[in-house]
Amino acid sequence: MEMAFVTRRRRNLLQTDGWKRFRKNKLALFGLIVLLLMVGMAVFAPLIAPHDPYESIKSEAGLILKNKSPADSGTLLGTDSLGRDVFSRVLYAARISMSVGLVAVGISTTVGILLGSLAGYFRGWVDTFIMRLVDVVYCFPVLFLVIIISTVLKPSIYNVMLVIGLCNWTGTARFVRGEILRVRELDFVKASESLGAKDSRIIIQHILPNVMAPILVEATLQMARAILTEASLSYLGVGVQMPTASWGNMLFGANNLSTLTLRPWQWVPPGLCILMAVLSINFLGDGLRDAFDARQKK
Amino acid sequence: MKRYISRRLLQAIPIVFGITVLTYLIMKLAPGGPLANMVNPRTSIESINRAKEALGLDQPIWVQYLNWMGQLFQGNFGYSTFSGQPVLAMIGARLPATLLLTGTAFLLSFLVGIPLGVYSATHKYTPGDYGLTVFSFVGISIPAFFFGMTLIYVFAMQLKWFPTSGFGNTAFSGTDWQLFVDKLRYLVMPALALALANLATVMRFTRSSMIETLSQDYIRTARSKGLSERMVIYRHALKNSLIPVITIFGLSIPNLFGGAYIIEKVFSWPGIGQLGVDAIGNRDYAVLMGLTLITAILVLLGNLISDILYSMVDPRIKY
Repeated sequence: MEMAFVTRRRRNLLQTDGWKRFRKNKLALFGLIVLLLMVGMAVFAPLIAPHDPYESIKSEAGLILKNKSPADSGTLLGTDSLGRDVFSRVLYAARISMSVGLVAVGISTTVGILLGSLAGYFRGWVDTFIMRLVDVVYCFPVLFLVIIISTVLKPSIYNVMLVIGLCNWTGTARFVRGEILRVRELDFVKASESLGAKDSRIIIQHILPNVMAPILVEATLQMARAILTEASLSYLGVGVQMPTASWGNMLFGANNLSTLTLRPWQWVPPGLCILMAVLSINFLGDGLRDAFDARQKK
Repeated sequence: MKRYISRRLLQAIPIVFGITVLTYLIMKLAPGGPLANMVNPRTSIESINRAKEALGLDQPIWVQYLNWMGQLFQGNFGYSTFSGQPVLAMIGARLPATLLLTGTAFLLSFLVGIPLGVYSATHKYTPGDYGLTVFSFVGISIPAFFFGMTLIYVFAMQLKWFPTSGFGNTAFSGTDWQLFVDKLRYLVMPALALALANLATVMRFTRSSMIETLSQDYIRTARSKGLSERMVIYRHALKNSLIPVITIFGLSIPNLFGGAYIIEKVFSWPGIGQLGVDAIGNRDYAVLMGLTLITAILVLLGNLISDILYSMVDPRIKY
């Protein structure tokens, strides 16, 4: 999304006030750099990973190196309870955790824009119905709703994406509706309407471009929440299932006091990865909001 | 005012209706339904049909829904498919522990979050403000379970300041005060872990609200009158900037109840979150359904209270 934007209007973007503001924001730049590093880690995981993330490492005598510390196993971050290399698993988990986040946000943003536009543009009973639905969904804590539905459905990575996506659209829908109610009263929309433009044309051509920047910001911040939600689900055992590694389910394996105390190398690295990924996305989203979201300007 | 409250209460009725429909539909998604545990390959078709009839499963879905609703109104939330106990009693037994945990986290996040936010706003762009900003970002970004595990590792395992998990020693003997202190030691870490994200949110919200208030004309007037900075901040700015913070009251409640699931598992806290996690493990849909309903209604109540509070505090809002 971002890339297309950059190539299409590169000269404009780099010269906008928004970009200048963004560049001055040290936290946002830090977030962007860390995030790019982590995406790189995920994309090039097969090249970087020293071991197969699904195979146990064996010693020369043929023994599986279970629960070995970095020093004992000669690996960077030690091995897990099945003797698999923690570092390689963290790299492969980055792919899973980030793609779950990306797809979930794609779903929730699409649903949010769709329902929000319908409610804001047509008003009347459509609006009432959709907004009551928002109120209802809003009463269920997102994490709780996601947990319940994932329990009921067969646990799989696709269901995790779908459920997180379908439970997170209320914020976007509310916001898009509000913006559309505001924008549709503006003169240029009235003008277009009086020239006989169709509803769909007015929404797509005139209204959505005006709300795109804040939607992107919201999507970025939602991505952070989606990654956190996936981690929590997998930690509870109803998210991404073993043997596929996700950062969250790597902590699921460490959910007892002996692992927690004696083998910190098994749970600290994936935990820190979640923290760094979510933190850098939050920094980035906040920076984007300050830089590009016109409503925030004073 | 009274009209506003009664209108909000009336609006809540369709929402409660929606909550029950959604809960019912989610549980209907469950593969196998309530019969799954009772059927084995040797069960005959006739006895399956008899069981379906006895449970009313042969009727259209909306009749089943109405039957279920009828039972709910009589206070019958069904029976656990795992232990056979009544769901409402199971939840009732666990609710106080969760309310203690979420209530403490709630108080903690506002009592600590608001002063930190005010400090941040009044010391804008100083190292202290930057430090607090980074802290608040970390607070909303760290997975609660990871933070909880880190707390256990550092403060329970290495430093041995607090017990690792649980809800107090049942065999503990001593004066009431000692008992209270003992309970408190068990509460500190889970409450902190649950509160952190909310605390960070409250802090950031207070900061931006306070900064906005400080740029208002009446603040400039107050300053030009020669009032001390202390007076300006605590008398004129603070009260007004706290009004929007009330909206966070409503937002906090679903976050805290959702978070309780994770935190209660990390710290073996015997509340509804742990009941829920166990129910997930046992695929105990009756308990999950009861928990879903009760949580949603608690959240609805919380939102209602925060909206009403808002309208009482802010005289600019007219209904």
